[in-house]
Amino acid sequence: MFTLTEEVLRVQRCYRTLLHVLSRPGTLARLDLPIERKNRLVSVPSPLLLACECLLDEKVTVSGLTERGRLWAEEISRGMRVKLAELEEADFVLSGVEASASELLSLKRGSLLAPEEGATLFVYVEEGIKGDAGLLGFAGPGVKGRLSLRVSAAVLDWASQRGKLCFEYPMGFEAFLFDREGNVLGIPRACEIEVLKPRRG
Amino acid sequence: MGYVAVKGGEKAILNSEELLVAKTFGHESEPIEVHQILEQFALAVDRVMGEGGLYWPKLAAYALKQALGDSFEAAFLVRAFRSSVPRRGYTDPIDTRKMRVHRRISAAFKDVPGGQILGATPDYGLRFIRFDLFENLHQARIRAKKALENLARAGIPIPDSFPKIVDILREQGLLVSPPSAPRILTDITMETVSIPTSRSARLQFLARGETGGLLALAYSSMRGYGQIHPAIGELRVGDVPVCLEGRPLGWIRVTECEVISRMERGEDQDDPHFTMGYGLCFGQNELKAISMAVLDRTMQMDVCETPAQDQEFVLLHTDGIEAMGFCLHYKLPHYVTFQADLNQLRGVRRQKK
Repeated sequence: MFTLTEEVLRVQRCYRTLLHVLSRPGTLARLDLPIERKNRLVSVPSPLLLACECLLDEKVTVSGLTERGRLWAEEISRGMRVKLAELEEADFVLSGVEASASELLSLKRGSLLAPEEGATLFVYVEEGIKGDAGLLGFAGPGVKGRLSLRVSAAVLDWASQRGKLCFEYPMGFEAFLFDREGNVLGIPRACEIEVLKPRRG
Repeated sequence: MGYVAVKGGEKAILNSEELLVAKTFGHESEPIEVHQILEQFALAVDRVMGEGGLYWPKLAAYALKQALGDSFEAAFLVRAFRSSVPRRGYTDPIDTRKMRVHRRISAAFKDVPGGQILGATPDYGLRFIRFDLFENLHQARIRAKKALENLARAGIPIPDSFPKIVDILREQGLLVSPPSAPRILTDITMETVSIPTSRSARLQFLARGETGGLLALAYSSMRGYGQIHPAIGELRVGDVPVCLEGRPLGWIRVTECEVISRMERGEDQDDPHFTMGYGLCFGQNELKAISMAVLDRTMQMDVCETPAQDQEFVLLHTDGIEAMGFCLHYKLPHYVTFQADLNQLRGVRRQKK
């Protein structure tokens, strides 16, 4: 009736990778992307699509932030029968890297009684996560002391927007950053990120 | 909370994980293949699927192999896997009247319409270990093959479907009518359930319940901590078709049990009626299906005087994975809580002196 296809195993590996990076903020891992791209959902970048296949289904809602994010969300909704929702209500939010702090503030953050209702944000970084634009520092649960990571200008800008937010713990949202090579970075709600060496100019 | 985060010991934990891999996959004997587990430990596979809440025999076989045969651990692995895969919708209700029966018995009537189909069962034999067969497995296989051929030659083909015993009782007005199905069913995997809960939720809890746990509580009712002395109206094991929005997906094996219990006056009815308890679980697990049916019936009682009649007692203590998790978590560090107990004890002793 069912078989363990490569697709199922890949989604399982993706799940494992997402868990890994979320419990180790500041550590990059790489998703095992399919060599051949499916024809459907053509505009959604491969790493984002794989993560959506892994975590999204009919029981959750999706929304988009930034112009590209909204396009991807609509396509995911159509192709995977995931319900579309307003940004403030969505369980999962797909976004480009250019979202502002005020936009990020709109995401569902859960409540003190139900913090698990906070959103999960998927951010796609077109130019790549790694780079020489600056140094990003990570602290909090899952980080021994402090970790730093050299990142691209786009990630640095996004992190500075994320750093402006302040939620009452345990409320907040989890974020995953993806790039075209399949690199993924997890930033849980309790993670402190700090721009250690900002980009010049 | 009186717990403390585990810090340190990371290397020891990693080494322990490696040792477990060695214990699981580093045998000197030939590895057991998954297809062998599927065929030769079929009932264990069925049990793991039921308690794990996912019908996927091959996955359950993998889980059993990884768990070194521990059905609790294997069910935990299956349920964890289940929680990590997307949902594609709810299948259509299954009509067990369409079951392709492997086994079908009634303890209430000898001459049931369609006949009793005993199938393969240890119910009527003696519980001896068959050393005679183990000593010559090759001969045992030849004997099995011949026996099957002889039975096939002599036997009457099994019909595609059988009438239900409870339907016959209902037609005669002897059994209470089933309650009309609610428009929206509770989904215990997606909703936080509060007790008392709907029958649909109760049956789901029972379907994922641990066989031993369900048996213990059902047995308590049979022995006297309750009033249910069940007659098995019908017990079926067989394959039923599964469809999603009308599209056939395939067949799954289930065990279904309908127990007929004591007479009660029905609502708005003067005549006494029999009442019914229902059990349905994945695979072949007759002990579980009967226990489920007994507990379904005990929890329908208006009174709550015994453990088996208490929804909270039954439903929250028979989930093997929850119970196992809670029990095993005591192995994890409780340094702070125990330190507090020690301090308290020493304090009391000091005060006494």
